[in-house]
Amino acid sequence: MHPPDSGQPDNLAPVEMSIAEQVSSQVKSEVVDIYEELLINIWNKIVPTLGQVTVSAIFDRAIHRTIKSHSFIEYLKVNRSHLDFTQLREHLTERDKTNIKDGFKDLVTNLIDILAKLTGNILVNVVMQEVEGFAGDI
Amino acid sequence: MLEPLDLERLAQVGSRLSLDPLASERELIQTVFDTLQTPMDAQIIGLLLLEAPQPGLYYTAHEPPTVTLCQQLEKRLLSVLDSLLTPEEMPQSLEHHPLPGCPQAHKFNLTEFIGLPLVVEGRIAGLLFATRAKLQPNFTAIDLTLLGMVCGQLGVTWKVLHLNRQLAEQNRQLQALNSYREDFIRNLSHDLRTPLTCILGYAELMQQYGERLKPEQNTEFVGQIVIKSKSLRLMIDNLLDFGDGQEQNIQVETVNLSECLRQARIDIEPLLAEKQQRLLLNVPVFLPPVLGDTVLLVKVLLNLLHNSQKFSPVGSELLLEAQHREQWVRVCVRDRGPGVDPEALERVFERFRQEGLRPVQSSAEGLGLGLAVCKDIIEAFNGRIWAENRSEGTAFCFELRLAT
Repeated sequence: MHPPDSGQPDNLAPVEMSIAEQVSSQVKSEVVDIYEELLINIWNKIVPTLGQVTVSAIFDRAIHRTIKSHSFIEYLKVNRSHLDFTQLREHLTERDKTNIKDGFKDLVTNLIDILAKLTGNILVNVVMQEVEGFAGDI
Repeated sequence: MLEPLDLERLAQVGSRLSLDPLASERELIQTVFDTLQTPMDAQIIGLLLLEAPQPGLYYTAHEPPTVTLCQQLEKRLLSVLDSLLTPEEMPQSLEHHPLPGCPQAHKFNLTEFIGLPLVVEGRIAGLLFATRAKLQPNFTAIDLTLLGMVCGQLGVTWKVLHLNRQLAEQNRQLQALNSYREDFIRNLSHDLRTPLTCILGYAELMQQYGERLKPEQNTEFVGQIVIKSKSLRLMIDNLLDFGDGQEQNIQVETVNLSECLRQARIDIEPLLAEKQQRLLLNVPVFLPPVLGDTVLLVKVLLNLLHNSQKFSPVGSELLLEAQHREQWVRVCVRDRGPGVDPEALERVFERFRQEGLRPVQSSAEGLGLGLAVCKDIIEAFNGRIWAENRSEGTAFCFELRLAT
């Protein structure tokens, strides 16, 4: 017996749900991919000027500030030489796409705010150029 | 813009900060400021230090800034810190520490500002910053690189300075410990030899004169051997317990405290007789059972009684008291000795006394470990032990929880 408003058999519903989940997961993963590339580009742009230790500390503080409004950002780990997205990807299923986007936007905003307070326009211009390059994607 | 000469100075920064013997953080800060002055061409070079030894605002300027300008600088720095620190980490107030330097005679204003966090072992320990006046050129990426390099080097050298200081302190402690160990072994040899010499002396007398000794002499010599042997055994027991420290496995059980008091009284009698001392008892007929261990509690009582016996004059009286108080039983051993310096009362139970790092009461017979062992035992039973001066002499008391 088929549902009245569906032309498909019952046993296809779980498959559809599974596909929908996978598509949603892929979309979320793509969002993370985009912001991962952006943040790594920013990292690489400012490291030659500030050094790894200082850049790590600045990213760490930007993440700390963002956690207050978007707790999932705590899974983004900073170490001495790079940003580690492994744990954050593992916790993607708990969030929706909009929430993830908003979290990353806040993170980039906090990063720019800290850099502006520390370095004036010197590095903010460099970072803004990177962000503008990603404008269509984010 | 960095000139070749500035680059040469910059190249020297690492070796200067790493290799020069810098005695203090203030000297290190001054070295950093000296290094940055010429290449940065700054109006002010400063470090807002958040941690010990002296948090505050260190800076060099051509002339001391006015109060208003100081407030402006503080406001700017706090605004930067606000983006880097949590509210709990923010400094409550900023003490100013002007340092010599900065020959640039520009009028103070905060037109251009750059600052970078001083990171020491992953935590933000301060903020290194530079300012330029309105008429000066803007800071560039090269200035920022210079500040970043010096900031990074400062973070490393800061840590090295702290490690060197820790190392020096550990060396000092090791030397003191070594000195203590030497004193301890010297005292140990002396204190163990004293009763042993007596035992040997009486035993040799008995061996030499044998049947020629009168019965009362025999009794006295054997008595002395027993007294000195007990004293020696107590010292050795304490020494072994001291060595075990916290590692000894103490079982807590229900203990008949009256029986412990009785055993301790019997054991101490020969030592009291040696100085014609008397033990007075003020103990209720019925004492409720407490939580402890019979053997260890007898040892505590014996140590306290022995300690009081040693410091009480010949022919004096010692008092052994026990009282039932709600959930506790309190036991006190009171002597007629010279008393303890009030400031030292809390330290008499310490294993290593700070005063010259000598064993407790090393001048008297005994290793000076008895009270430390008592404290370990009583605290293992969740009890408490203390000493207090009375109108005459000292009372050593402990309290144990009732078994019910």
